[in-house]
Amino acid sequence: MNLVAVNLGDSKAVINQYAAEGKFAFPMVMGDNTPNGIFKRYGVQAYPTNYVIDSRGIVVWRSVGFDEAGMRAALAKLGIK
Amino acid sequence: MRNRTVPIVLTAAMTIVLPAAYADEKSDAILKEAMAASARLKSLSADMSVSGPATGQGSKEMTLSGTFRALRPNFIRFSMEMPGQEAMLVVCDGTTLFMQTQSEKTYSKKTAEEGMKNMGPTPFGFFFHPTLEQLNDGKTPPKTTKYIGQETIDGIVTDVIEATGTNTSGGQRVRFYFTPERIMKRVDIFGAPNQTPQMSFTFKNIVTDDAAVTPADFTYTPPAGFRDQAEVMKEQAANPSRGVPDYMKNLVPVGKKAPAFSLPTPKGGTLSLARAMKGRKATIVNFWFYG
Repeated sequence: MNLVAVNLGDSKAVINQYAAEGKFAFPMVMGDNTPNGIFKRYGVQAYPTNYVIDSRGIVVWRSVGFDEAGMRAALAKLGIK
Repeated sequence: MRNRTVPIVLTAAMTIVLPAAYADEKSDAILKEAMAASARLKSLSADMSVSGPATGQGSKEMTLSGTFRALRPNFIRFSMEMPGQEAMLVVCDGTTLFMQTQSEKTYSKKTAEEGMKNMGPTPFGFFFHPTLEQLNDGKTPPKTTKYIGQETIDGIVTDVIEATGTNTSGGQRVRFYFTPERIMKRVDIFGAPNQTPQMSFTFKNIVTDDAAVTPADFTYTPPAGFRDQAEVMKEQAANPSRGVPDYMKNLVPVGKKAPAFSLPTPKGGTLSLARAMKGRKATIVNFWFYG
């Protein structure tokens, strides 16, 4: 499994510091909230929003807010414990 | 957040089943008197309080208070509220039982027969169904009822009888408190042995056979803006985006392809979704900001 964290609007320094403090190993990218930006294309209006995507790139689950149990269940269906 | 505690409380109360035979003589005698006394009543009005845990697992107590009024054969008006959270109104006009939920601005309908079938081991349930047998599932063998003693509640000396169920809802103990007139004043429902009650229903200021209580007291008119729950659900089924919170309306639907992206990383590179997905069973795409 991989995790991509798409950030909205924070500076590189803030993101790098946050990643370092949290010892996050997953990749981070910087998103944009322009009319065709990633936040619009994913319909993100509240935070955190999470998507689980299968190996074919199909959305299998999404949530707004923290729903760890729901995410674990979605990942379990894809064979990830 | 909507608070759904009230329906949960009532549903929990309705799942409890009691034994059909009464073990000791004193409890047997009191139960018989109470059943006869209740069956003789034409109407009953009382203030009611319900207390129990806030959620199935929480330990925080919540208390609802309200009023209950009933008239034979099948008229009910019964309102409860929990300050700042939820208010509920149940009215049976003799034909239809309405349940109004304040937070959702809806009301549901059942036939009087269906809606009043089983009200659980509660003081109001005992008014309409003054037996313990009707609470049994018919398959479970009866276990015990016993006389516990007297307890004074709101200045009234009550006789306390304990019954233990054997059904699947966990061998619950239930204590019934009867006034000297043999009206059920209180019910304590215990989830397990040696615990404080999980839920208690208490009647206060009981008035019986008040001649002023007539069927006209039991009409129901939905407040302006309140809708039939069945219609709301039908609409939601026809149009699933209704009822979905605004902040979720624009999300990519489950089953659709996740939009491709290629974005700069804070370390100076770029990362595409395709590359992040490569060789992975699953990819989580998380949207966040630090602020």
